[in-house]
Amino acid sequence: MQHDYDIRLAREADLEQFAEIVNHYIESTAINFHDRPQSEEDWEATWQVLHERYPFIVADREGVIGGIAYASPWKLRGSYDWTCEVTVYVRAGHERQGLGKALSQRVLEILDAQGYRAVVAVIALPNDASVELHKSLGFEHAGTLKHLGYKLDQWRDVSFWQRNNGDPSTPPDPIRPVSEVA
Amino acid sequence: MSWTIRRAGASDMASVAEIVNAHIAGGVAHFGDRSQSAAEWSAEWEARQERYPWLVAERDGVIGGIAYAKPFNPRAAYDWTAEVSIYLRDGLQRQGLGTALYRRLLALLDAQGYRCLIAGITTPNDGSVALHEAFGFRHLGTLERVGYKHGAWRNVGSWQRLVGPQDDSQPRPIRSVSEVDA
Repeated sequence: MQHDYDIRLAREADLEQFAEIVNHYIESTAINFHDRPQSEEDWEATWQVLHERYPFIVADREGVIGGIAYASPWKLRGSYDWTCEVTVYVRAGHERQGLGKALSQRVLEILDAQGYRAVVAVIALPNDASVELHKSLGFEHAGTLKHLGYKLDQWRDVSFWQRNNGDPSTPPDPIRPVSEVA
Repeated sequence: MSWTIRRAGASDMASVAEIVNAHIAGGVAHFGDRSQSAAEWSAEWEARQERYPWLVAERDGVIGGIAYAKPFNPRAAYDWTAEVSIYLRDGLQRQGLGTALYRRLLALLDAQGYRCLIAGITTPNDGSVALHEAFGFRHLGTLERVGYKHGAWRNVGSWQRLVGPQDDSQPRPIRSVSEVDA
């Protein structure tokens, strides 16, 4: 199905809706492993620190954010500089319109242009929609850790997915800021 | 004379820094790109040592190796999952030090109530893989070309060791290290 959302870089004013969208998954599902909602201020702090080096994208239709996607550091040690983790959430009730795919594609396009060489997605199972989305974007399954978390009265398995970019025989270039490529 | 395995104290952190900095500078097991000071290690040890065990192997006042645990991920559903690390002083491999450190570290973690231990290993590393598998860790997956160090892309495998009943009964709160190390 087609959507008529504007897929664009996030602004500070969007972060209240980031919290709204993600808090649904924190409070009602086991796909996000937090146990308490995050405030707009939490998101502002994260966005401030990361958004120049990692893309934050929204799907916007007349001021209503239907979904978000963003990247963050995979790990902090220096050798991981060219690896990031991607996260995508579609607002409850806005699924099945292609928003997740459109958001993810935009994030991956920017990450590739910035010079990231490996992108990792972490998916708590079961989550068929997310697994299918990531497979369709070229992610490959890199392993599943069993009983990694306990939420809503059950142990949860967590799967790891990976998409590499660029020629494996070449060394990396420094990562370019988001504003240089988007 | 044999090695004594004991809990680390603040005064060991200079030795810890020295041992790990040798791995940071000369190897690929640790993905750091700059050395860490004793003060940085002390801050980390201070913040975590009540909830996560830190052990050293000592002989005649010389620290030969360190093993410790840390949070796998700060989100609450991961509370029963810890990541383990072990570093031996150069030249002290293959003398049973790693086995002695891990035997004690895992006994503490099991008694505290951790249900899942994760080790990330830059592969290939036959010695580390053999050590972990001897303690029941299983290889669950590998992220490819996830780091770049010393002129080459490096793969990192995840090894996992599960503890306790595998049903969905509510896990007990984690006990402090002191409580189980009486």
